[in-house]
Amino acid sequence: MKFSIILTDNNRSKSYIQNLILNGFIPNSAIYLNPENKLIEHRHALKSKVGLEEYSCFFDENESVIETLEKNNIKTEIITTTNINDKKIIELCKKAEGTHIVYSGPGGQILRNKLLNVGKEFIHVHPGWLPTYKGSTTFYYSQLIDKKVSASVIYFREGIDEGPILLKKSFEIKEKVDFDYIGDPIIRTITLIDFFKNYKILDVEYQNESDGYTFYVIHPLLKHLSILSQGIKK
Amino acid sequence: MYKYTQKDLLKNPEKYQFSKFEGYQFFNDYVENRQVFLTSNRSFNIQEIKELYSEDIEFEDSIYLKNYLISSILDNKYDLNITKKLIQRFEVSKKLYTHYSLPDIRKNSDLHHDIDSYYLFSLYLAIYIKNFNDKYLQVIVFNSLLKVNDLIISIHDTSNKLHNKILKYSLNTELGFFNVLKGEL
Repeated sequence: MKFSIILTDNNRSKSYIQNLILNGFIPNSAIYLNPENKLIEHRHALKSKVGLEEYSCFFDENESVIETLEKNNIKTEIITTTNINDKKIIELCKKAEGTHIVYSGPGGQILRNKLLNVGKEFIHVHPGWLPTYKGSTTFYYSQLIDKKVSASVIYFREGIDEGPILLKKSFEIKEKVDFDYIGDPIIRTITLIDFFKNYKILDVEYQNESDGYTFYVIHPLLKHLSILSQGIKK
Repeated sequence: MYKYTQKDLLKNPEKYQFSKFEGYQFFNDYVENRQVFLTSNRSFNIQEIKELYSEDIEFEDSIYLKNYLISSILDNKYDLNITKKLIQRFEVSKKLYTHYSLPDIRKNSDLHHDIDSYYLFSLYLAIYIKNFNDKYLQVIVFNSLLKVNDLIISIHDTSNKLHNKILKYSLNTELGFFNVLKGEL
């Protein structure tokens, strides 16, 4: 599959690009959203290997997205914006090589029709089992209710988390892990890589707007209950 | 110390994004925060909420939130779609407006300082959790209940007796559901 990728300065982008390359899935081009026009990326932590031991998936938190792209000679456009629906991004997506664009831009943004109609499929990995878990922080809700976490690969559509489902996977997390910065990117990455390995043989599952439940940003009390339930079986 | 009720959340809405993990101590802080409001011995008859009913003009194509919540609670009739929409509106804005349009439940007014509505919404959610067994919905409702109760506590005036009673009822339900979830750990 010929594809491009939208990235920004976060652990999900680091994990996606490092592991896609590691597995031989090299994007034809990249669009890098640099919200603050920073020359050197902010680093949450300077760890060279973080991930989930039990699923043998890691990324180097110390290596910036730009460093990875440069090391691998991937043609990159750097755009200074926080708005994914910016005209420049729409134009770049129209011109991007390939039929698909992997999305790892800033979280919480809604892709508008002008962007969705550029003639490519936008691949998104949602951190929840769809259509049951739609919305925000579903990773924590799923761990709390079902004692497992999941990710679903979908094509973006106008309705939030309502696009066709291409692949979904569930994981039991036995080791204590920081969900926000490590667990979430890793689970999404494993699911994304699986999608690339199997996309030719996948069955598409369509969902209705009314299917499942919509969750909202988790309250700290529920977040604590969720984190402390890691390693507990249902 | 439980930090989510320390500032006026009506003036400074709390987003709750990327909240820090504080370990088991967080549970103690949370319970301590709620227990302050459970000391009153006054009994609560649900019919008392009729006192909050407003005689203001109502329109056919909208709901007057306060009156809608009172009717729903007293008649024990919960419209699932309206409940989901009200939760969505509250979760996104952290406000409750006096009027919402029908059927899409969009705000029909910019007024969001009717404090009674927040107490009634809290009571509405607390009763919902007690009456319905869908675990997914219960957790979604519980999440909003925690947030609306944080907001209420952040602005609570203890001189209002009915508000005290509603808050006590709602917090008892909230703590009960918390204990059920904690028991599963």
